[in-house]
Amino acid sequence: MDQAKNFTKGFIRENPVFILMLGLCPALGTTTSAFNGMGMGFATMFVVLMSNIVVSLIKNFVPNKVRIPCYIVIIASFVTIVDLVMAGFMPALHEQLGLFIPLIVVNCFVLGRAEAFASKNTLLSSVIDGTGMGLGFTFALTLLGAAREILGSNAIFGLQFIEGDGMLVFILAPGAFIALGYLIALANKLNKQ
Amino acid sequence: MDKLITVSPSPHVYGDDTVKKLMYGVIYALLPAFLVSVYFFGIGALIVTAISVVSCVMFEYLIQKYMMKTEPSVSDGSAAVTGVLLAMNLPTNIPWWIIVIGALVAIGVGKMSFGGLGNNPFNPALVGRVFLFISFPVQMTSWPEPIVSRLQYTDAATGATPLGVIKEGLAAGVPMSRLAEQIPGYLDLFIGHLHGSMGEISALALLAGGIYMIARKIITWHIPVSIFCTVFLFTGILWLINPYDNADPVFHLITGGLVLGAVFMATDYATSPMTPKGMWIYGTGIGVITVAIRVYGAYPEGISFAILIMNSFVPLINKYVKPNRFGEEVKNG
Amino acid sequence: MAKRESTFFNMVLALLTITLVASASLGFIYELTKEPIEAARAARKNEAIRAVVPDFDNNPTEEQYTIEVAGGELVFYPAKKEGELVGTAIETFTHRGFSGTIKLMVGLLPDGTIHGIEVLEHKETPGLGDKMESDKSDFSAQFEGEHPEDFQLRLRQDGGDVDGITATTISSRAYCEAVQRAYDVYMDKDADVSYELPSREEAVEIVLVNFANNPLREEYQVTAGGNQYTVFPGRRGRSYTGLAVDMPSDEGYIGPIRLMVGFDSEGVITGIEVLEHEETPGYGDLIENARSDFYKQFIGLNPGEDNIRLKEDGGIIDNISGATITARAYCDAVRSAWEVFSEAQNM
Repeated sequence: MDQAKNFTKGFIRENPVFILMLGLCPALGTTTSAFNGMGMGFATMFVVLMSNIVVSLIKNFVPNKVRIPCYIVIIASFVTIVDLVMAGFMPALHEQLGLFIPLIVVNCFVLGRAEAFASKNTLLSSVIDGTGMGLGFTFALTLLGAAREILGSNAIFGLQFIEGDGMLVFILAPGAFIALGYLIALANKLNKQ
Repeated sequence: MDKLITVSPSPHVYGDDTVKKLMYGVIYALLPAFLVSVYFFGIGALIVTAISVVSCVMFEYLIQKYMMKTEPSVSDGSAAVTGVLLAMNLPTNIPWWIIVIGALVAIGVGKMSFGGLGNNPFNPALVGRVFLFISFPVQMTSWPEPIVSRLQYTDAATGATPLGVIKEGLAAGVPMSRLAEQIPGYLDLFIGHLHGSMGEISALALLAGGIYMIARKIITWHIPVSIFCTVFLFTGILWLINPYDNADPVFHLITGGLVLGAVFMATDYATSPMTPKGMWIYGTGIGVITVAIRVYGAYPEGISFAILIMNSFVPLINKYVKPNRFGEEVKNG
Repeated sequence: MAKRESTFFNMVLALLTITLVASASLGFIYELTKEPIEAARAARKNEAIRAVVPDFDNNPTEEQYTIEVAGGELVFYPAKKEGELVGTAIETFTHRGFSGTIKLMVGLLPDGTIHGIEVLEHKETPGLGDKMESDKSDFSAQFEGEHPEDFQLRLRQDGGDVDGITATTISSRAYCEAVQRAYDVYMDKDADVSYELPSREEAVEIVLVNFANNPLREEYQVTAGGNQYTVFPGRRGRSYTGLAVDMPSDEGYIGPIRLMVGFDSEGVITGIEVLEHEETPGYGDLIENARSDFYKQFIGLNPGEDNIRLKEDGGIIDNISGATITARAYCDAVRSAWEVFSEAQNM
């Protein structure tokens, strides 16, 4: 397998958010600013990477019929670890992301990588896949967060470039859908070229 | 790829209604309301309308020419109508750049993203208005004083709409009888001497425009009438149950954006049902949601949200409420 | 290694192993992060407290107390500097926000003046209601330095002195309500925080009459009933004019009560001050001289002759209604003080 391709596929070609359309719930819910999007992205990336590693290591030990419960337990454990570590060492971000951290458990993107990739591939490929896809997810969330923050708060990564409020709708749920829609359109256009 | 030509089933009836003709008809119908607005709000009304129409037409032209790479069709007047309707939904003291953003959203997001005229599921002007309303709540809810601020634009003195007064008052526990003293009399409300967005103030002028459009067969009466009936009935029942905490049905009919919405926004061709029965369902839905938002919701006015929500049901309504096929026997009874 | 078959044994083994490893590692991580999480939580609270009260050097979260009110509870964090109360941070709430509950931290100076307000929690609309946050607008700044007695905590349109946030009447109104609630409960239930009990030195000078020396310098110990008590003799010239007895008692309703009882040379009570107590606000705390005339009935009595007991107990002292146990402990302490006094006379 071409590992370079395996690594880069997550950014545009098979981007989890823009192309596969997985994990849209946190993508919409947490991206009120670029920093929040990035935090959520990295948290998810850690979970994807670790669960990919473990799933790939135990793929032959786990019988087929109970593989999904096993994957879920593994994913849930890593999510809880992320949750606890964030609460302890990054309380501000943890508070911002709130409920969405525990919800990584049900992010089908994570289970999707475990089921569709890690359970069928070698450890090395799974690590590269997890990192690439995780970075792709982080990239997508950061981009969406940045777009919403620029339009909604006149700021980027917390740096205000115009005084006052922006278009508040982008901080709220409808703006998340609008911004995500246009980013998906853009990704599709890039993919076609 | 070759362009597909869609052929609709027969009969191919020829009419002389072109898009252009219909759109100019709508603009004529909006004239009385516009003139009333100019009378009450002065230069603000002129500035807001001009900016709105120019930017809507400009965005439509630019998007069609440079992004969709098609022949611009701004001369059909539909962008201009969107521009006028958007202006009608704005307070006349709103800064120019907000209007430009609203026009971009109305045309770019509300219309062109879906493929242009006829393909948009939502009324573009309302998409623009609701976008602005959520994005710039402060500017979108400061209403200039009628008459006294005729020579001012953004620096006009402001006040609350009658619906806003009622909403605030009832929330604070003030009985309806006391609130009635704070709002203009019914005659003022009817002719348009009140705080409100540019085009919504005069129920009289709007109704005149509506009658003109019905007479010219630009719209049918079903949608406006079903909305009015539903609102009247719903608020009437609430008022009969508890007149202390509910405004009377006449008040609900002639204030806020109800007439503007029912006559001009809900009747948009692309975004309303095709059959009379479908129109009744659609209109009733709008009426119920409007009253629900006005009485129980967080916002004082809900017609824009109601129309947008019902817009999204239109494909469903069209699917299940079909017109009788030409030649089909109409069941009696 | 080939893929294992889905036999019952293999499935149980796989699930068991994975859940065991998962729970063990989670337990380990939990232990590891427990302290940082606690610390982060406390730091957040302290930061909010620090923002609303003047400089302090104690740990307000350690001294926090809670008062239940309709709809929730208020948490009080007394901020002290060198032992003296400089302000109280009050965690207050309102359920009338545009989108539900709003939690504020209101800092009041001992006299009730608002020193600062921070928003702890809210779900209000961005751009509108969230302007109540101190870093988003000056709304909260207008409260600083105002005393709610002459600064009506209502919006101008409702007849008060507060400039609401534009287009955000409901949130602004709810904010005022939360501040008002903090203030009301603070003034009503908790005036003892602002009213300082006298120090031991002050109490001695209050309860003794007719003395020219410095009783504090002449303090000595008296043993009575097997316990040691500190007494302060009052003298004028060479003649002995009275004795102040520092009288602890551990029989209060909630905790120990400590009185300073003054006698003249005959054993007649010349004054009583409460030095310490933990009794219930509104009931037991009426033993404080500043709060009721309960102490006045004792003045002029001689415990050697008069029966210093509650009327219920066959004595002559009027009870404090609703605080019998406290009042009884007070009487007992006064009688014990007299014992100490007579012991001192015999020395």
